This record gives sequence, structure tokens and C-alpha cells, in this order.
Amino acid sequence: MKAKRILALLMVTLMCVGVFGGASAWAEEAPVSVDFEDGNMGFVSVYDGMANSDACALEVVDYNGSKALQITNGSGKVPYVAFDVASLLGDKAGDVASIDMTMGIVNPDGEFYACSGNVMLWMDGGLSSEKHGWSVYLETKNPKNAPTALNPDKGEVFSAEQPLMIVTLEVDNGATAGAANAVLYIDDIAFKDADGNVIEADTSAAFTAPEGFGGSKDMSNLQYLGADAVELEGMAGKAADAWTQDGVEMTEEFLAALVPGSVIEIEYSSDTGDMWIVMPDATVGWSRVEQQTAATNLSKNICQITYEQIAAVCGDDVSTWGARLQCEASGAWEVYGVKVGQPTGLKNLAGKVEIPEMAGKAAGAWTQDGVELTEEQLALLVPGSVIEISYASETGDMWIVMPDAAAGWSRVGNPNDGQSHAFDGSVAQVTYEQIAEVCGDDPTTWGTRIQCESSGAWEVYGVSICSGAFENVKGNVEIPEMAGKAADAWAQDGVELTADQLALLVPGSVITIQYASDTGDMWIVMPDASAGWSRVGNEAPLCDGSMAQVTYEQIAAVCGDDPATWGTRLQCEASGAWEVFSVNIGTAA
Amino acid sequence: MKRISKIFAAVLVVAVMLSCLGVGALAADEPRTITIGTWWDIFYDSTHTALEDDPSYTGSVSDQMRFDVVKAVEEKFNVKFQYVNLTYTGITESINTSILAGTPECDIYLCDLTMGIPAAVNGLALDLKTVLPEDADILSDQTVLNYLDLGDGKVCLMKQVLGQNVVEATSPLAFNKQMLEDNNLEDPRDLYARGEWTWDKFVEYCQTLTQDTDGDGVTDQYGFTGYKEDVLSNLLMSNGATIAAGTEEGLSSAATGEALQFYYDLYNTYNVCEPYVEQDNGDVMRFTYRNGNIGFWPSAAWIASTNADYDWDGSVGSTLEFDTVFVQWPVGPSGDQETNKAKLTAGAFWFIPNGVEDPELVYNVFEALSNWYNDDVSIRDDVETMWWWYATTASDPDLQQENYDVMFDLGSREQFDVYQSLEAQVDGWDLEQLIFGTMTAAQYQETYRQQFQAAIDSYFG
Repeated sequence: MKAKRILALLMVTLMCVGVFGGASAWAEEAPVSVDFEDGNMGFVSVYDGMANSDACALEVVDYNGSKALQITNGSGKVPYVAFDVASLLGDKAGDVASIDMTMGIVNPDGEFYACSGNVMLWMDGGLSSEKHGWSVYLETKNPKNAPTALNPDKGEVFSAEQPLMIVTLEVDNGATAGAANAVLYIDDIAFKDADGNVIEADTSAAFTAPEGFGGSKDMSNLQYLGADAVELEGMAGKAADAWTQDGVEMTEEFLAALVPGSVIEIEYSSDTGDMWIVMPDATVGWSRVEQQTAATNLSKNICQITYEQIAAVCGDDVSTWGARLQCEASGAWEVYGVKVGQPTGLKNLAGKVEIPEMAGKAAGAWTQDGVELTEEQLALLVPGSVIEISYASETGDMWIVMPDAAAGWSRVGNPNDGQSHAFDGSVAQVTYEQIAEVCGDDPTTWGTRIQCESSGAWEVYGVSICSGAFENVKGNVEIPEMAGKAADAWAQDGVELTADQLALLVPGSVITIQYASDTGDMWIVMPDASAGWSRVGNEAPLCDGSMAQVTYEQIAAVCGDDPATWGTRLQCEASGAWEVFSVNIGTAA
Repeated sequence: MKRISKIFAAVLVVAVMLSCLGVGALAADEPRTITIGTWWDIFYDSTHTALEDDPSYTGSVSDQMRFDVVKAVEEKFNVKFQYVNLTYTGITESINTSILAGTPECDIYLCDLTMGIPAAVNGLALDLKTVLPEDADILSDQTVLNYLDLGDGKVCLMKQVLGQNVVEATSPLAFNKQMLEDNNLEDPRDLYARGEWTWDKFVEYCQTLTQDTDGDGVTDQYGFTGYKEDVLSNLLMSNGATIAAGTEEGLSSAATGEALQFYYDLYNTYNVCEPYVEQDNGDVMRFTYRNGNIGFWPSAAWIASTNADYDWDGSVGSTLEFDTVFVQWPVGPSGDQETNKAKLTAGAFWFIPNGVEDPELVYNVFEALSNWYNDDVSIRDDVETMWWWYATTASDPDLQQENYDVMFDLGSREQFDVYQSLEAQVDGWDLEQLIFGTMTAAQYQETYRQQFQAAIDSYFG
């Protein structure tokens, strides 16, 4: 007790010095690498490459008495905010041993709800599996320091190949409780070396996206348009309330591209997730096209409407469609771009297995180069499989050559010889069936070498053999109760489907799952099927590590033709620990 | 801003001076707020004003009692209390920083074993033996709260006694009732009751049941089968053995050696087991009993329900033509029926951190909250809530009750042993080496004991 009083008197003395003497040197602020006081944030970017990525907004604002980076959730998903440490710190980036950051949260309703997330590095073209948790868990400690100690033994070293630090906000108790998402603030980032010295940063640095960071636009359920697609000028930035239209007159260039087979693609946001077009001046009268039925990606931010769908409403003669094209949605909406072009035929592929020896192969025009496939790689060539080539070529084309086929030296997919396959100048896809057409049905007669070739000088960046192509699905209906389900390896979790949801399971329907799993796979379980507890899709799962699909026909093959006997519960499962972000049921487009 | 700061500081100075002079009685009758840190939302506490505050409220008697106990506890102990969802990352951080600094942010923490074991081993969790009287429930009857015994004599990690907490994750030995009757074998439960259910007797039964029933020269009925992980854990416990129950590995112990040898012998000496499917992850070997040609197997409520063995919800009809009966595992040569453990510890626990003011009060509040059912176990574990646990293992109501009782008995005797969590760190570890006879029990112990010790060192920090 005596000691407590002495301690209190000491505190009083210290306070008196503080109040009357103005001696504040002991409270001097510690140096940091980035304090945002200059307003710069060009070294930060949102990563949208995960199935649960949120399109969050970034801004430098006043917070807690100084400037800070504000991260505002856009759609209720997980913000992934990337800091380009390599550009900030230059050749000192590799010295970083620990990071201190001030993290704070503000909830729009004025209450406090704890939040937590992770700090990780960009490694091997994606997010590191090593994660360092941060949390703001008490109102009395908001904001607070979030320390991260890097583990170089696990490869956590910043470099040109591993330039990014990524901060996520993954657990938002407010949102879980039904309140609005928390706004996250990051301030006073101190990158420290092994001796604890703060490393100076150049905050004028611009974010440089590493390979694999960009180009992650969610193209699920959509067709890939050619690079020559024509933008409709004036549409970007158009916005309106629910059931209200806005648009522009179509340009001559746009109209010239609006021909049979073409597709109009709209990048947008809407409160309800839908989007369609209106042709207000059509001769047949004011017309909505694909109202709430347009092909839409799972992120519900890109939709596509075909020439033929417009013709079905407005007639075959484009000259009668009127001059204006407008957008509309059932919720407040904004459009970021509208273009029209011809689909390339490229598909979203699943089960990619790299052929690493092909990366870097290059040759002149009409010259081949390639590799001898291993037995394991050859075994991947099964009906439905697709060879995907990432490339550049002077003439834009790319195909494969099977030099040792029993049918003779064979080009497959050479467009200059009337052979068709999908390519867009940077990606080419050749199907098993296209090879079989040239080399015969028996893959054991195709030879073991595979080569690339183009009509111009070419270079290949990567070649993969993929197990199959995802279905493009329309009319997706989300099973909201599945979002957030998670379990360990070989453990199941799911929901009881309602009668309305069960009614969606009709021939041709497709269940699409957005997920993450330690092993990359994902399938469904029908635990109450009359045929017995049943796994569906685990033998050859159609998945790519973030999306999986199971068709009605796959379920029927396991559980029988009558969906009334499948039971009412639907569960997910994977061979590694897993989490599901969304489950949708729709029909193949 | 500066001016306000100086006024605020001056007020603080006055407050601290008053405190120094002993003017502290102002807040003497204010109720203390007890903070309980969690990582999921728990209902009800002093912040809730209506039953409907709990989104899962169903109008049951137990809901009402859990709501009413809040006021009763507040009045009895002059406290308020609040469950605070810190998130999983937050609760881990709070444990590792605030308790270590001597100023715990919560009076009680919810934890899993990953957080709880290091907290207990490293002195962050309070040893309740040092603050509670000997007749406190957790130190005596354990009708409301029991604890995880880490073998160090301390009482740190509390668990609420609930029927479901007890029976979940139990793995009783199951047998095909009709097969044993057809072979004139006495009910093993009677042997257990008489203390005669031993490994030797079990082998005797298995040998009787292993048969070539159709006379084609090929064995088609087996005494035993089971998924390897389920089998080993139960053989260990039935012989009083552990592998990673503390800071020293138990793989090399004599009792563990006996368990490994018995496992080896079942397959390679007595030849009473169904042929094992190589590299099965449990999908096959856990369920072959359904073919009706297996005498004994490790079971569980979830295993029985996976294929709706006995029509627990009445929707699909029973899918087995024989009855499954649960019995305790037979006792090994180094085991003791009275002291053998029977369920590997899992799940969530609670602890009071060191440094908390008046921990006896905190404990008493938590015990009173946990006893929301006023000692009426029939409400706590009412049949409606627990129905699945009864109905999933049998069709006959008497057998349902008997099987439930066995699960409850097993679940009442928990064994802390984290060896299954550490197996992934032991390069080469695979019980199939015993099953297929490619390694003897002694070789198995010697091959992996050092790796296990390293994994244990890492786990306990």
C-alpha cells in the first residue's frame, strides 16, 4: 500500500512537470517510414485477385489528429490493401525485419466492434501462406500499434520478386452483427531493420504491380472479348437511381462493331447487383433488354448482352434500334465502361498444371520450340482438357505442333490453315478434341513432344494443361447461408436448402462455389441422399483454387436421377482446411 | 487544444492527489464489471435487456433460465458482467500481451488448446487451487465446472459441465449385437461391469468372430476393423498411455510400446482384422462395419449418423439390419479400469488470468453463470436438445439410453494428449507401418521418438 502511494506521488510530480513546465521532450514522436502527412498514397493499391476481394476505396484523410490512409469497404467482402514496399524502400527493402503500423477502426453507427485481419507478403505470384494477425479488439485501445515480425526462414523477405505487403481486414464483428462494415485506418508505418532502425521511405513512389497482381478481373460466367473491342465514349461515370436510365448516343465506331455475334460488356456497380440495357428509341418502342437476366460475373460488376439478345427484342435491323443506348438496374447504379466486341472463344479453365520447362521458350516466325512431356503431364491429356499458352507474338497468333504424332508432324490450331482455336494475342487455348481431330483419337499416338509456333516471332511465358473449362452460368441465385462456412480438411459443413432453392436444381443447372482451401480443391456432399451419404465432384473436381463447379448431371450420376431423393442438405468439403465465400445455383448459359 | 489538455491534466493531478490521501470510498458500492473475453457472441449478459437479444432465442425454458440468471448473479455478487467478442486474433493478442504485462484486459478468457496450453504452462492462467477453498465445485464435485488436467497438479483451464460437452468427440468401441449372440458370446458390457473386459478377452472374442462363413477357404468375417487414428488413441488410453500429454514425449514409454505391439499383433499375429485399405483417410475403414461382417469397431455418434444407421430423424428409415451396441474399450495390461481415460480432450476452455483482482469473486460469478439451470441436469441436458445423441446410435429406446450412457462415461474421463495434432510434424509417421507389419512396435518407437520430442518442445514453447 505504501509503495502504491509513493508511485502515485511520483505520477503527480511527473504531471506537474508536464502541466506547468512544458517539458514534453520525453513524449517526442518516434520516427516512421510513412505517415501520410504529404497526402501521397500512390504506392498503395487494392488487390482484387481473391474470390472474396472487396473493391474498397482508398483515401488519405484526417484521422486521430493527423493524416492516415482510410480504407472503406465497398461490398462487404474482404479488403486486400497492397503496399509496394520495394518501391518505397528501394534497395533497403530486403533489410526489413519488422513492421509497426497504427491501425484504427471507425464504425458508421458510432458503436465499437472488434476487427482483425492479417499482414502478409506477395510470394510466388500470389499471397503468402504465412500470415501475421493484427487486431483492434478494445474500444479503449483504438487505434493501436500492430507489430509484425517477418520470418526470413519462411521466405518473408521483400525483394523485386516479393515487393508487396498486403493488409487485410477479415473479421468485422460489426458487420457480423448486422451493422455496416468498419472503416479501417492505417497510419505511421515503420519498416525496421534487424537492429530496430526505421528505414526511410520515398512516399512519392508509384505502385508497380508484380506479375499476377493485375489482370485479375473476374470473368466468371463471361465471354472474353478481343482486344479490338470498341468502348462507348461517354458512358463511364453515368449513374442513376434504381429503375432509372441514363446513357449516350452510340458512336459510329461502336455501331460498326455491333454486328451479329458481337457482345456488349458493361462494367458497373449496382446496389442490387443487376444491370441491363435500354434502347429508348427503338422503332418497336422503348425497350428493356435482358432485364435482370443478363449474363453476370460472380462479383456482379460485369455483365454481357449479346447482339442476338437485342435483336430478339428490337428486331434484326440495327438501323431500327435507335441512336441511344442506356443502362438501368433495379438498384442505384454506376457504370464504369461499356464496350462491344467479338468473343475470342477463350474459356475460364480449371485444374491448371504448369509445364514449367515451356516458360521462356521463344523462336522466329514459323519456327517451333517445345519440350518432351513427362508421363505425368501426358496423363493430363484427357477428353475435355485444354492446353493454355500465355504468349506474345509479332502477329498475335499462336498454336501448337505435335512433331512426333503417328499421324505425322502436325500443327494444331493454325488459323492460317483454316484451323480454329481460341486466342487473343496473349492467351491461346487448344482443346484435347482439337488435337484429336488432327492426330487421331488415341493420345498414345500423339508423341511425347509438344511445341509452340506462330506466324511471327514469338515468346511463351507459360503453358498449362487444364482439366477442363468452367461453364458460363446465367441466372445465378445465391445461397446466402453458405457464405462464411468453413471446416477442417475432410470435414463438411453446409445448410438445409429451402424449397425454392431446391427447385433451382434442374437438368442443366450448375452449383458454383467461391472458396479458398489449403489444398485448392472443393466439392459438395449430399449427406441425406437416399443413395447414401454422397460426395459429388471429388474424383475430378472442376476447380481452380478459388472457384468450383458441380453440375446437376454430376449429382444425378452419384445420387440418382430423381432430385427428390437427394435430400435437402447441401454441404461443402475439401481435402484441406477450407472456407466458402459464396454458393450460387444457376443454369448453363 | 493545449489549454484543454492542461485543464484535463490539472484535474487528473487533483484526482491522483485525492487517491494518494486515501479518498477512495466514493465508489465502494459501485458494482464491479467483470469482462469475459470471447471470439464469438455469447448470450446473455448485463448488456442484454430482452430475451430476443439472442438471435437464436427459441422460447425454451432453458433460454428463459439463461436470461434470468443474469439478474440473479448481478444481485448476489453486486457485479455487472459482459461477454466481449475480441475476435480470435484479438483474444490471442490480449492473452499474450496484457496478462504478461500484469494488467489483464479481461477477467476471464475463452480459449482453445492452442492458446490455453501455453497460457497454463507459462503461468499466464491462474492456478485456481491457490485461491479457491477446497469445497469449490471445480475442486470437489465438479457438477458445474471441471478442468483440464495437464498433470502438473494445477487447475487452470475450466470447462462447463454440459451433456453435449461430455458426449461429443467420444469414440466408444461398438459391436454387432446379433453377431455376438449368434456366436454365444457374453455381452462385453457385463464383462466390463465385472472388471473382466481386458485386451486378452477382446482378442479371444475377435478370434471367435473371425471366420470363413461360406466355407470357400477365405475368411469373410472379422473380429475387428477401424480407422487407424481412432484405434490407436483408444488403445493408448485403455492402457494408461500417452504420447504428448506434457513436455516429455511418451512414445518411448513401456505402456505406449504395449499399445503399439497390441495394434501390431491384432493385424499380424492374431490375424483378426479386416484387411486394411492402404492410405485410407477414414472414408473407408470407418464405415466397413456396415457390411455386417465385423464384430467390433471404433464408433461415434457422427459415424452412426453419417449413413443414417438408425434413422435418427425418421426421414430415411434404418439402414442396418443389426444393432450397434457401445461398450468401453477393454483394459490393457498397464491400464486400470478405475483410472483409465477415455476421450481425447478437445474444444474450448475458460481461464482466469493471473493478475485479476479478487479472482475468487470472478470464479464464483462464472460458476453461478454456468449453473443457469439451478443444478437441474434434466433442464441442462434436456432430451429435446440432446435427442440426436440418443437416437442416432440405435433404434431401440433402451439401447439408445445404454449407448448414451457409455458415451457419457467415456466423455467424463478426458485425456489431454495432443499427439494427433503433432503427427504432421513427424516425418514418416504412419500407423500403416504397424498394420502392414513393415515396422515392429519397438522400431516404431525408436524411429519417431526424437521427432515427437522436438514437436512437443515447439508446442509447449
